[in-house]
Order: sequence, then C-alpha cells, then structure tokens
Amino acid sequence: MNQERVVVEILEQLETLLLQVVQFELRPWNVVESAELVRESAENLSRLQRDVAAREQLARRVIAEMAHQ
Amino acid sequence: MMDAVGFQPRLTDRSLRKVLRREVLRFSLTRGETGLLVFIWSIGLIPLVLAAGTLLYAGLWSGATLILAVLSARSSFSNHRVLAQVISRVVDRSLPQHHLSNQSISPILAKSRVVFGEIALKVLQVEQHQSGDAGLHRLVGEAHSLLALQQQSAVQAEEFERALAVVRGDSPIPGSSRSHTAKPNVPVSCSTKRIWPESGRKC
Repeated sequence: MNQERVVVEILEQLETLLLQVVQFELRPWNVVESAELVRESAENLSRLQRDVAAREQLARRVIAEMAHQ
Repeated sequence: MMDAVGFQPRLTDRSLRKVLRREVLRFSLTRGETGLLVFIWSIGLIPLVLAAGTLLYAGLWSGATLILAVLSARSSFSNHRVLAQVISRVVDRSLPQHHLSNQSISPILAKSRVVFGEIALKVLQVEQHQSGDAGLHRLVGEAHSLLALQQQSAVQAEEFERALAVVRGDSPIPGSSRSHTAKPNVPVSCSTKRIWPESGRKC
C-alpha cells in the first residue's frame, strides 16, 4: 500500500463518514444504524492502523538491511 | 526517525466540547461582538465615572453591557461559522501541520482537516438537536484518529524516502522533489518496492 493510497483512502473514509453523519441530521436517528456506523468506523480505523504499522515495520527492516550492507 | 509523529493524543467528543467552550469564549472576546462590547464598555466607563462622578451610572452601564456581552457570547456557541473556525484551530493545535515536499499530498491532508471539522460540527449539531445518545460522539474520536494516522503515514513515508535518498547518494533538497540524476551507490532491497511500488526502483 503506497503513501498516497493510504492518504487518499483515509480522506475517502472521512468523506463517507461525513455523508453518513449528515444523513443522521436529515432523518430521525436509529440506534441500530448509529451503532453500525460507529462499529464500521472503528473497524476501518483498526484496519488502516494495522496497514500503516505493517508498512512502518517493513520500512524499519529495509533501513536495517541497508545499514548492514 | 519513524516515530517523528507518533500517536497523537486522541481528540474525543468530550475533550472537544471542553476545549470548544473555552475557545469559543476566547474567540468571541478577541474577534467577535463580545470583544467590541468590552471595548465600548471601557470607553463609556471613563466619562461616566469622571463626568457624572457617581458609581451608580457606571454600575448600570456595566450591568447593561454585561447582559449584552453574555447574550453575544451565547450566540457565538450556536454560530456555525464561529464553531467551524474554532474547531479548525483546535485541530491544528492537536495535530501540528508538517511541511511535506510531496506537493500532491499536502492538499489531501488539508482537505481531510476540513472534512474532520465538518464531521465534528455535524456530530455536535446532531447530538444537540436529537434527544438521547445516538452514540455518534464516538465518531469524533475515530475520525480524529484517522486524521492522525493519515498525517503519520504521510510524514513517515516522506522521512523514509529522504533516508533512502541520503543512503543512495542523492542530494535531497528540502521543499523540492528528489534528484533523479544521481546513481545509487548502495543496492536497494526489493522490500522498498513492496512499500512504495510507485517509486520505480529495480530489484
């Protein structure tokens, strides 16, 4: 996953979140829907954090490899 | 090096509300109508105390101005424009902006901050108008974490690129893209291409 893709994906996640929150403003809220929205958002965040952490680990390994060469 | 940004303290709905109260009041006093009222009050107080020579008029003048100032400050709390500006300042303070040499990333980061501001504002509005706990307040924290992650990712990638450029013998120029003319003097691992495939390095 490259740098720009992560950054763009997070922007898209934020935009989607905004549209979903706007929907809540326009119509009466539903407990199930709001719980689902919060759960999805937490899952996406967790997935992206894992991606970024994995990439960071890989970058550290590459730098360590290069330092030993 | 990779921990230059690290995990920023998460801005939650509760902490945002707490900071907003203080910041909106400050904004109202320094830039809003409340500040103007305080100025008018201080200007009006001098002739009332000096010329009339009685504290009664000064007290009445102060009371009237105070009522207007409280009303003005209260209206700032429901002013969309003021809230948007204050949220933007709070976000900038919680996540200091980094100067990135990659010009295509900076506008995306800036737009994300605007979108986060709108999310925070909408969540505040939705929870104000609808009774009961919709659980939306947790979204502010999630969205802020996304924003922090985005910035962390962008900065880390840039630092990694810069480190590689130094190791490979390129001369990194701050604020500009890397030189592509210098030949690498250190073999680059295939792992690099796995992290940033667009970099075009050959394994």
